[in-house]
Amino acid sequence: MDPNFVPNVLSLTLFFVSLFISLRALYLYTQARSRRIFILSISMGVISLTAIAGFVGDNVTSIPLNVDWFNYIGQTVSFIFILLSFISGSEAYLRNLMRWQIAVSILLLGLMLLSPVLPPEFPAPTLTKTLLSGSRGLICHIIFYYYVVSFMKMETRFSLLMGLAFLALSFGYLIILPKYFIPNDGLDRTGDIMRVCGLIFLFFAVLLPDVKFRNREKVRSNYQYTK
Amino acid sequence: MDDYGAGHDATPMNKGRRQLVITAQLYKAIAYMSHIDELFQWLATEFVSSFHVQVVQFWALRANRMGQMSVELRTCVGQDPAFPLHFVVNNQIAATAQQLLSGQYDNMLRPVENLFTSYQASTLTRFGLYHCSCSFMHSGMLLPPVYNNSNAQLVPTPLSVAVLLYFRPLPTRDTLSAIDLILEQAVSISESRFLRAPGSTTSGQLPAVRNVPLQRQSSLSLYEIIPKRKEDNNLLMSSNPLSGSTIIPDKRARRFYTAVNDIRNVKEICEHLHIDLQEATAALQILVNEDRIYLCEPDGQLVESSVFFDQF
Repeated sequence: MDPNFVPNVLSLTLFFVSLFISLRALYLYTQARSRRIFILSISMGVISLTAIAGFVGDNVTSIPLNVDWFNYIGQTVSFIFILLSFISGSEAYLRNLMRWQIAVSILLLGLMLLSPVLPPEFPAPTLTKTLLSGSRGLICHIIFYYYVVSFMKMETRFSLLMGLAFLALSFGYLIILPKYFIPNDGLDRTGDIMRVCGLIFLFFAVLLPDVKFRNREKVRSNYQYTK
Repeated sequence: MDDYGAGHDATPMNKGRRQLVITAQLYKAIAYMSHIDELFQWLATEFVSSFHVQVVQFWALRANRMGQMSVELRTCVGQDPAFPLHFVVNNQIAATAQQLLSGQYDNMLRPVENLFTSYQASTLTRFGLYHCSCSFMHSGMLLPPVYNNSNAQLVPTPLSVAVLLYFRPLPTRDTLSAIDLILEQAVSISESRFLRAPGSTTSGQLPAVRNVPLQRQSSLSLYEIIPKRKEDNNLLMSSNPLSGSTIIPDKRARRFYTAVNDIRNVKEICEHLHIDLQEATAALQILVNEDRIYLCEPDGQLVESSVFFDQF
């Protein structure tokens, strides 16, 4: 099997799922003007760029592309902005967060464009990669706990699927950490497969309509009858 | 049509405690409700889950400008998602509900054969609904029309709601007493939050911003009022942000909402968007009704939004 098969599947799945979410969220932002949806859109857009950059970096060998910088930092920052958007619903807070995100995203695009000229190796690679890659897992794990709390309160299918998605993503990121110390293809593949599973959960979470599990309720209203 | 069944609960204390718990939860949940239909739905859901009611319906009397009365189903919640609700939501049930609301009946529990036509009763028993209780919610204050109802012929009507509860096993007296006590509390809360005194409105719509009890009627003009955004805290946490439910369908309202930044007052927004007060009022009314914004005075004090909209 091509050693790039699993990473390619992961990159393409991540690209299409995050691009779909990003574009749909962007469209809804134009119709709803919700700042939280805007933050989601930009975050997922950056993540989709990291995915396609990773795919190109893995498959194009004719020119040196050091996309790991953009990959690790872009994903970490994007997940951080999603997490920060949960913290408060105040208008001033979300407006400032949007501004910060736009500024940071422009810097990240610069980092992506600099991929051909960035140094091929991180300084203190083991430690740096562990921190950068591990931080993604940590942020995803914190997001997972937010969804657990939300599920305990509201019992919606959306929070359940999102919780499962971020659980799989966080373990997918955390499980590959030992490879930075001792190369291990098995762990790498397991991590990639877990992340693909997480993305599938994420995709279904945003694709399926809202359902509340509590009371298994079925509600109809506004039927009008005149005697 | 007089009294309850003679069943006795083995643990009456539990029913009493449950009633107290639900009442306490109601006081908490009410803060997040913006329309009385949300209250009806909340109550129906609680009855289904806490008292093992198979189906709960809230039928309300409504009137049009000609003074004609009819009934309207405001909420129907079933315990089993697979239950075909059209067997309990039809003209025969509506006719019975209107009959109950038109008469001077007390709360009651009946075998379905004694309440509905024989055909309807046989349909209900086929689905295991052998008993039906009816409790009433009455108030002299006005019940607003269904949320977002655009029928201009409907007018606010004094609260008169028949709560039909369908049971498989015979419910106990304690169960029914607990439900009645909760409904009494709900009427009392509704009078201060969702219902309106007769003669106090011309629009028939209640303001959507209702989650802070101490709203005051502003002495300022609408120009000086600052609209503030209400971000849905459940969005992206428990509700799917991509489902499309967040869309603001009206283009003018969407444009106005974009200009709302919790700092600009209405006059500044009008200048910013180059619109007049009438357009701003129309957009504001849509946004308030959709629960997207609330209105504040410059000192941050919440104001009663309907005061401004009734002027137009």
